Order: sequence, then structure tokens, then C-alpha cells
Amino acid sequence: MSDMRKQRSLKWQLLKGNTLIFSFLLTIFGLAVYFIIYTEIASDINTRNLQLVRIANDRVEHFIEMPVNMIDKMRDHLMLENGELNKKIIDTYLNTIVEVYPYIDELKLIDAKGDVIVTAPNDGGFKEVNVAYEPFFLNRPIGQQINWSNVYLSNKTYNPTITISANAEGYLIVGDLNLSLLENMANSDSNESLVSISILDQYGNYLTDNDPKKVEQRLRHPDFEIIKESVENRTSLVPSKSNENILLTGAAIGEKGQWYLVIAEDRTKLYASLTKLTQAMVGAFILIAVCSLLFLYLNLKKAIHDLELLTSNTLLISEGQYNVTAEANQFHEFQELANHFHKMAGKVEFRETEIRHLNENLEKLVAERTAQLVDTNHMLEEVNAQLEEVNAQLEEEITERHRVEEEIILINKNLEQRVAERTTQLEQSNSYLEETNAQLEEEIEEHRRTVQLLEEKDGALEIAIRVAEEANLSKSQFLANMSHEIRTPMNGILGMIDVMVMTQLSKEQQSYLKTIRSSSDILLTILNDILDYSKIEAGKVEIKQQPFMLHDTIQDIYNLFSASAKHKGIDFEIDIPQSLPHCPVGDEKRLRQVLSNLVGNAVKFTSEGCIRLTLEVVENDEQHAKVRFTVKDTGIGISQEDQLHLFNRFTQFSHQDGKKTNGTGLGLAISKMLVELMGGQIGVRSQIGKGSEFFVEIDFGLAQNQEKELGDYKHEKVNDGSNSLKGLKILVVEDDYTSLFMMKELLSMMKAEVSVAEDGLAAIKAVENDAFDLILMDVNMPVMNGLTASRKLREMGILNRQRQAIPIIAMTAYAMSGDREKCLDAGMTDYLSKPIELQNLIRTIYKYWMATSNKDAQIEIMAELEIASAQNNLPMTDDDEVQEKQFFDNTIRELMKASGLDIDTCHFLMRTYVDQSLELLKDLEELLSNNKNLDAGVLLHKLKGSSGNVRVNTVMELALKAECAFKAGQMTEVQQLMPLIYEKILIFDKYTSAK
Amino acid sequence: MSRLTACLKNRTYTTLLIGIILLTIMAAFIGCQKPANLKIGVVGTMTGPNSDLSVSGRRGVEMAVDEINQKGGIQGRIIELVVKDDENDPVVALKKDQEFIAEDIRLIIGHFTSGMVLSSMDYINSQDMLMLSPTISADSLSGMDDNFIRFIAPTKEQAKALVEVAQKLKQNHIAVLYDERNKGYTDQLVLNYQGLLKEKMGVEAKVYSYDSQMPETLGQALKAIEAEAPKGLFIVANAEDCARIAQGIKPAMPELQLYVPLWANTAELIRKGGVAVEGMMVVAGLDIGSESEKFKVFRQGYKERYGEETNFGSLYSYEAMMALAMAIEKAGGQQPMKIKNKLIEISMFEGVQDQYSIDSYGDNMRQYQVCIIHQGALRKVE
Repeated sequence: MSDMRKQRSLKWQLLKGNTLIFSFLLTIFGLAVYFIIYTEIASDINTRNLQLVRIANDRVEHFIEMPVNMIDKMRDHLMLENGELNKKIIDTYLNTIVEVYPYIDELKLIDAKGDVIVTAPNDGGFKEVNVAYEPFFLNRPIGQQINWSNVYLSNKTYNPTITISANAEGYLIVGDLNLSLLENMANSDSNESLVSISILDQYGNYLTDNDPKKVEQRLRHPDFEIIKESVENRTSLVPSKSNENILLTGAAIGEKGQWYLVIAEDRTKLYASLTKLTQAMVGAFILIAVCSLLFLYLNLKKAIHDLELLTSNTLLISEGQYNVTAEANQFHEFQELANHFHKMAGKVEFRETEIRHLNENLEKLVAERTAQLVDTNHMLEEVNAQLEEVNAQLEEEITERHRVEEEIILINKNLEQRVAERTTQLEQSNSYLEETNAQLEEEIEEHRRTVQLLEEKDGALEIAIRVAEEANLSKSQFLANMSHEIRTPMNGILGMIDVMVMTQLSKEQQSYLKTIRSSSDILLTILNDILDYSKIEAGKVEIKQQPFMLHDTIQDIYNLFSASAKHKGIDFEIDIPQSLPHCPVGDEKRLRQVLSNLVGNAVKFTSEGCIRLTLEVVENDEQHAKVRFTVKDTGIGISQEDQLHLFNRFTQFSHQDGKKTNGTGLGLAISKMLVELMGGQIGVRSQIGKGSEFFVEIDFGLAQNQEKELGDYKHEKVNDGSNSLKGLKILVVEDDYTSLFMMKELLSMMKAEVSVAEDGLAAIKAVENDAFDLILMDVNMPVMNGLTASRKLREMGILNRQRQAIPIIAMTAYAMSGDREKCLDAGMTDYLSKPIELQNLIRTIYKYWMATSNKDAQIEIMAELEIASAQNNLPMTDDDEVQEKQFFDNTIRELMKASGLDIDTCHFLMRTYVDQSLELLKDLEELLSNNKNLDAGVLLHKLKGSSGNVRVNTVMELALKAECAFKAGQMTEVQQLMPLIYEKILIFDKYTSAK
Repeated sequence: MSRLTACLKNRTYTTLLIGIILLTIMAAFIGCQKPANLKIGVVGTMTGPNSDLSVSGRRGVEMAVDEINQKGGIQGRIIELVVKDDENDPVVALKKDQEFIAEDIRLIIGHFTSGMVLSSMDYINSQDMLMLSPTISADSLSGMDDNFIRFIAPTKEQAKALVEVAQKLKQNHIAVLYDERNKGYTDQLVLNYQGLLKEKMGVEAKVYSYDSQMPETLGQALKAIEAEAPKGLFIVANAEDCARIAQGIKPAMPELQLYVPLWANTAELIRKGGVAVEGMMVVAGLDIGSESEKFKVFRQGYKERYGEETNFGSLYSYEAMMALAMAIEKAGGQQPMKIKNKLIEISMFEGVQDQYSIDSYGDNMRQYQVCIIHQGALRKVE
């Protein structure tokens, strides 16, 4: 590696060395000179700055001293006036001072409260000025101390100002000093390098500066932090942050050293001499360097030339030219070296000759040695031949090996052939298996066909089931029809029994009759159940969605069962929550039916303890309320097994004592079906001997307008605020005066235009003379009945005012099936059964009145009508008088509810009815006594109709009985019924006249 | 083989070495090229009477700039303030604005009084520049989409704050006294106050005026007020006048409740007013007794730096500079319109005492507070 090192050139080495040493020395020298001069300049500046600081300090001290002296004098003056303060003298005195001393802007004398006593010069302000919160007053001096404020901009002179304050005899002397004494400071020295001299306060704000704007603008020295630091560290000439060329020197001045003198100097100007010196030195440095290097170079060039000459001589000698001679060299050292070389060449030539001789001897020895080597070679070749033989044997062995390998390959081939054969055998057995598989698939196909056949049969079975179901339905239908048909004669039977009870009978007969009556009642109940059940099963039951008063329904249930419960010695309690909706939408009738069934059962199966009907609101939102009705009893209970079949039809369970109960066993089945139709659910929990708990959950809609609650209803006119039938022109055809009056009143109230006709003929005349929108037609009328009149009207092609076929709505008391068909056949549009329900009437009229009617108003009317039904649950008493009155009141209420008329109109209506009926009874008696039977039947029918219309149901029932008896030709019975009818009508006569 | 590797290695080393040296030199070169300072203009009445507000405003800006520069400036650029004095002369004010444009300084904090911008608004809006005023509250500048953004709520809000206090005090007899010399400012405030008083309390306030250059007019006005004997007096004048008026009227009417606007809310008011201004209701732009940590630091810093108490002028100016810095940072440049849009976009600012907002017209909606002078100090009226 050592020969890898780069050889240095003598010439450059020398040059480099010389330059380095030379530069080093020269730099040291230069720096020394620079430093000496710099120190000199810095000390000059320091001296001058110190002088400036001293001057500034003097100025500031002077500035401070002068007012202090002045204040001392003022104190003396005030003391002279001790005890009594002469304002005038002080005023003059202070004004004089202000005039004499130009650096005082204002003087004030202030008392202990802060009130200004004297101001000089007088500022023309208010006399009583208080300065209690001026800083100089807040920080009053203590004892003889004099306080100095910060510098601030006076609002009178707008110059930087300092306020001094001092105590004097309990008063405070306050003076505003301007800084004019300090102002000339900046201009006092005119050094070339000096940029500015400024005095700063303790916050760095300018007090004076060459540029007065800095003071005026209340600027803060931008380098105040640097200055403060330099004063603390006693450094000077620190560069400014904003301008590197400006050097700052700061010094603390003032009595407490709280102010700062800042001298700013221009670096370029300050160090101008130093810069010049540096420039000269650098020039000299370069010149000296260039000259000395040139000298060195020339000398070196000569020396190198000599050296090169020597080198070339050495080269010649090495090539054998020993006779070279030394040439003239410029340096004697090199000449000496050349001589030595010459001597060396002679000696080398002599040694070379000796070496040549030695060489020749050596060649001879080599030839001998070569001959010996040839012999040895022959021997080696023989050994080689032997080795080749061994080699041949080895090759033979290799051939043998190849043969064996070929044999192995042959065996291998045989093996492969056998494998192929075996594969063929396997394939054959495989195809056999596939055949078997196909057979199996065929079998499966066969199986599938069988299944299909079965399915077809299944279909047939389904059809058979459907047929059976239809048959069942037909059966239900039949049952329904049958029940209905049976019910009509049944009513006859019951009526007759009631009539018979009133005849003179023996006790035995009476007891038989009572049994017949109760059996008939049971039979009627059974019939009703069957009818209901069949109707439901035949899908004929429609669940109505109408708003109703739930509270009243519950009250009704209570009224219905409380007596029987009490009779059995059981408590019947009802639990209604506050949150129960007042006016849910649903089928009140059906709900009542279900609850009656459950409560009835509870009463039936409970012999002691209590029955409790509990209502709970399970879910509640704005439009729906889910209500749970629970009927809990302490009765005999139902076994787990029986509970499973409880809701199946015709299920009845025995008492523990084996006693059977009455009934069809349809009650719960009907309830279940009804609840399900209402979208609810029904269930039971029970334990033998402990009682049962039935619950029903029904989701009711909520009526949108619930404000009108029970208590608010005050027999208002039905359509207050609504003009639901306004513009509708209606013809009412009715022979019964009460009914006619009621209809007319009612429809007029609904703002309909109403015309009347007493019979069919009058109706036709009326229609010929005037146009109507709708006709309400009684069916059974003298002169021309409703059916004939309708037929004629249709033949005449009577139109309504909208040029459409006029709707004719039948009103009939015939409650027989087929009546409807008769009416429709006669050309009537629809059918209303008497007694007329207001709701139905209005609904039907609306249905056919296609003009623009207000549907909301209609709904409202409906709701009001529902509400009106909540009127009649007064407790019954034993007193006959009271009972009579109650009976009358209930009837009036019933009428109000049905008609929607107000109480006065109802009373009036009732009066009309009573008058008409009394007259009718009179006629009837006359007819009966004269045996004018045919007309008597008509009168009885009329009485039945008008009684129904005004809801005098007892009379209606009696009239019906009489009519039936009359039709059966049992005149004696008719005669017997007459006083009863008379008696009842007299009750109404009594109360209506009383009114 | 090994020799070759060594040689190669040597060469790699050499290249690497040279590369590093070159890079260092380049980096040093680039590093030495400091980005130019970001120049921001400050203009206001820096000398003479009425210079108090502008000087404290300038000091607020200085505080903010020092804080920003200490953190390395905005986007690495040090902020340099260029301060100009409008000498409270509208003509000079316009000239100074033009000077800023000539020097290519387009972001300016100032002016500090409405008189300095009202006549040069057209010029300001015609230039690509943005002026942020911390203290100009003139109602006439509200609701305009201009190159002028404010950090103080309109004057009308002062009237609102004062009427609310009068309402709470149930004062139904109030008079107004204003300085005719400052009509542009006083007129609007007086009208607003009168209107609000009527609207909110149904009180008709009688208005008196005086001329601050003619002391005898003030004496006459005060006599007339004494004769009317109202329960409250709203004085629309500068601090010194308010102090003088208080000193003049209080001995005769010790029960009179005085109200003064923000304009009069300077240290001068209490200093010159003495006990006469005790109980006076003063509109304040800040709550000097605020316990907000940020404000306490600001107040302390200001006092240490300038030896004076801070005021709303310095606080709002500080906030204006901070908001400007934030907008420049977010806008990523200093195009005035970009910055204006940024300020409007930011809209909600975290101030030193509380939050304040700038709407799409560059108008500020912060609440004025009403303080009462109690024992020579302002206390917030709760």
C-alpha cells in the first residue's frame, strides 16, 4: 500500500508551505492591528457616550430638581398663610409661578376631599371640581415625599406631561410639567455617527427624541426590551432589531434610574476608520502575497530544471551509456550530485563484465541436467500403459450394467399391460351398475305417479270438504232463517202469555203459565243465540264503526247485572281508569253483547264473593286505544282441560255437584267470534274452586272530535253550527200526525225545506205542482198507500231538481222480511223501518243527496246523536209516583236521543201524540162497540206506529198485542188490552199537561 | 478485486461527500434568503386631541403583532407594521389611504373614528384593499357590502343597551344633552335613543344641545335641564365634557341618573369626573373586571408594556389584528378580497372576553355592556 501513496510534487509542496506560513503570520499581524484600532475607537465612543449620559442625567436631575425646589418654596409660602387659607393670595401666587416657569403648565391646590381649591391658570371650568379619582389623588404622597406620575399626553396642551404632587399643610399641591426642559437634549451633540438621542420612560415610551412625532404619537421604542437587557448586562452598542446598521447604547438615568437614555448610532459611520484600515491591510496582504509567490516560483523553476537534467543522465546510465558527463548546473549542490553519479557509472560497468562470465558457466550445467530428465520420462510412459489396461476392464463392467437395466424396463412393460386388462374388467362392471341404476329410477318414476294420483284424490277431498263447508254454511243460513221465522211466532206466544197472565186464572194455572213464560224466555234466548251464531258464521254480521260512549255502555252493564248479583248476595264492582277514552269508535252493541255474556256467566257461576269488571288502557295513541276488559269472579272455576274447549260452540260444563246450566252453550263461542270480528282477542284464566278471569282486548279507534263529552251536552239543537241539509227540498208523505210533525220538525231543524202530504194521492199532487230532491214515503196509508204512490210516481218519470230520478225512501212499521223487496219492486229507492232512528234517517238522506254536503258536519251530528244516548241511567225506586215520572222522563229522553230534538219540542211532540191517541182510542172504542172491525185494525196499527215513533214502547207493545189479537179474531182480548193502553197514555197525558 | 471495490467505495464516498457539501451550501443559501416581511398598515389619529383612541388601538395591534411574530409570523413571514397619522383631518386621511396603495400595502387596520372614512369610502371601495376598523361604529356604514370590516357593533346597539337599563330602573322621565360639534355621531345616537325610549317605554325625551367650543351654551343647557328636573339624563359628549357636565349638574341635582355612551368611556371620565360621576351608567365595550383568563393576561401585558389601563379600543384592535392574521393564514395569501371572504366565512371569532361575529356585510354584532361607576371604578351592571 505504501507505494500507492501519491508522491508529492516538490514544487507545489514548497509553494503551499510557504504560502500558509506567510498568510498565517500576516493574518495574526492584521488582526492585532485591527483589534488595537477597534479598542481605541470603542473606548472613544464609550467616553463620548458616558459624557452624553452624564449630560442627560444632569438635564433630568435638573428637570426634577427645579419643580422640587419650587414645591418646597410653595410649601413655605403656604405655611406663612397657616391656619387661614386666603384663596385670592394663593391664586395670584400660583398664577405667577405658572407664568414664570415655562415648564409648568398647570398648578392646582386640592383639599383633603379631592375638591379643587385653586387652579392656575384658571381654566374657566366649573368652580366645584372634584378630582377624588385622579391617580395623583388616589396615590397621595406621604409626608414630605413628592410623587411623580407617569408621562401622559395632556388633554390641554397635548404634549407629554408629568404630574407631580406634594403635601402642604393638609392640602395637595399638584403641578403639570411639560418636558420642554428635556427637549434640547437630542440636539445638544452633533457627532457625525449619532443618529438620535432619546429619553424613554420606564415603559419604553418616548419622552424626548430628535423626531418630536415619536413623542407626540406616544410611540414605544421598538427595541426597548433589547435596551433594557443591555443596561442590565452593561453592554453597549447592541444592534437594533429593526435595523442592523443601527447600534444602540442605553443607560439608566434619573434619580431612581427609572428612565432610559438611548443613543442610536450608525454602524457604518461609526466604524468608518476601522473599515478603511481593514481595506488597506487587505490590499497590502494581497500585494505581498503575489510578489513573494512569484519570487519563489522563479527559484523553484531553476532548481527543478537542474533536477530534471540529473534524472535524464540517470536514465542514460541505466541503459548502459556509462560515458555521460555532467553538464553545467546553476546550483552547486546539483553539480556535486552529478559528479557522484559519474563515479557510480564507472563502478557499475566493471561489475557487469564479471556477471557475464558467471552466466556462461551456469548454461553448461543446465544442459547436463536436461539429459538426466529425458531418461526419467521414459520410465513414466511405461507405467501409463499399465494403467490403460485397468481402464478397459472397467468399461466392460459398465456394459454389463446397461444390459441389466434394459431387462428391468421389459418387466415394467409387462406390468403395465396387466394394469390395462384390469381396468377393462372394472369398466365392464361399471356399466352393469349403471343399468341397475336406470331400473331403480324407473321404479322411482312409478312411485311418483302413485303420489300424483294420491294428490289428485286429495284435491277431490278438498272439494268435498268445501262442499261440506258450504253445506254447513247453508245449514247456518237455514238455522238463521229458521230462528228468525221461529222468533216471530215466539213473540206472539210471549205476548199471548203476558195477556193471559192478566186474565183471571187459578193459582195452578198461573204457576203453569209462569213456567211456560220462563221456558219461552229461555227458548227465545236460545233462538237469539242460534240466530247470532248463525249470522256470524254465515258472515252476515257487520261490525259497525261508530263513536259511542264507553262509560255508558259499562254503566248499562252494571245496571243490567247489579240487581241479579245483589239478589244472589254477590258484590259487583267496576273499575274504570281515568285514562279510558270517552268516545271510542267501534260496535257498541256487539261490545255490550260480549260483556253481558261474560258478566252474565260470572253471575251465573258465582254463589258468593264478588265479581269485578276491570277496564285498562293497554296501548294509547292519538288515533287508537287498546282497552282490556277483565271479568273476574270468585265462582266455581273451570278446569284446565275444560278451558281448552271453552270457546267451542255447544260447550257446556257441569257444576261440581253435577247440576247442568241453562243455555245453548253458544254464548262464549259467539263472544269469541264477535271479539275476533272486532279485531280483538279473548281469553281465560281459571282455577277450579277459586274463580275465573275472562279478558277481552279490543283496539278501538278514537273519534277525532272528543271535546263534546257527556257533561257538555245540554239538549242543544242537533245541527247547531252546521247546515247539513240546507238547500235540500224534501216531501214527507205520512198519514200519522205525530210522525209527520216529528219528521217535519226534525228536517226543518236540519235546515231542509219540508213539504208534507197525508197520503199517496196528496203526494202525487204535490209532486206535480213542485219539484223536490227527495221523498220520504210511509207505506201503510189510507186513500193510496206508499207502494202504489211510488209506482205511479215512477210511471210519471218524476225527476228531482237535478234532473235525476227522484229518490223515494220508504218508511214502514212492517218488520217482516220481504218488505224491503216489496218496496224496491214498487220503485222505491231505499227503505227505513219504523220507529225511525234519526241517525239512520240522516244517513240515508245523505246517501241519496248527491249535492255538496258537509261530511264533517254529518259526522258531528252522528257523534252528537251518540252522546245523546247517554242520558238515562237513574236508579229506580219503589215509589209509584216517582216510578211513573221516571218512566215518563226516560221515554222523553229516549225520544230526544232518537230524534235529536230538544226537550221542549219533545214535550210538545208528546202532547200531540197524547191528544191524537186519546182521540184515536175514543174512535176505536166506538168502532169496537159498533163492530166495525176492519177500521179498528187500521186504527190499532196506526196507534202502534205513532207510539213507536215517540218511543212510548209500552203502548206500542200493547197496541201490537191488540192488533195481533184483533187479526186472530180474539175481540175479548182486544177489549181487555184497551184499558191498559188507556192507562199508560193517561200517564203521558198527566205529565205533558203538567208541563 | 478488493482493490477495485475499495476504489469504487472511495469514489462513492467522494461523490456522497461532495453532494452533501453542495446540498449544505445550497440549503444555507436558500435559508439565508429570508422571506420578505408582511407589511400591514395602521392608520388613525396618532397626534393631537382625539388621538387617545387611535393610539390605544395602535398599541393593541402592536401587542398582537409581537405575539404573532414571536410565534414565527404568518406563514413564516414576519409582520411589519406601517403606521400613518391621519391627523384627524378627512383630507389627510384620504391621502394616507392613497399612500398605502402606492406602497402596495392593501391590508389596513384603521381608521378609528367615523369622520375619517365617511368621505373616503368611495375610494376605499374602488381599490383592491381591505380596511378593518376596530372602533368605527357609525350606523350609516351598516348593511353595505364594501371593503370595510368592523370589529365593533353599530352605535344603535348602544342606545338599545342604555334603554334596557332605563327600563329596568323604570325611569319614565329622561332628557338628552348632546354636543352639536359632533353632529354626525351624536345625531344618529340621539335619534335612536329617543326612538327606542318611545317604543319600549313610551317616554318622550326632551333633547338639549350645547356647543363644546362655546362654554356659555353648556351653562344655559344645564340651567334648562335643572328647570325640567328629569330623573335621568343621557349625555352624548366626549369623556371630558361628560365629566365637566357631571361636575356642573350633580351639586344641584344629586339624584339625577346620568347615562353616557361608549365615546365617553375613557380613563379621563373618572379621572376628571371625581365623585360627580359616581353612579353614572356608562356604555362599555369591555368588562374591565372580567375574570376571563385571556383578558387578564391581555390587560396585564398591556399595563406592563405601556403603563396604562387597557380600553375597548386596544382590545378590539388586538382582536382585529388576530382575526386578520387568522384570515391570511386560512386564505393562504394576502389578496384583500380573499381575506375579506375568509373573515365573512369564519363569521364567529373567539375574542379575548367573549365571542363576536362578523356578518356578510362585514358588520360586527357584539353586545355592548353597561357599567356603573362605583368608587372610581367601572363595574358591570348585572
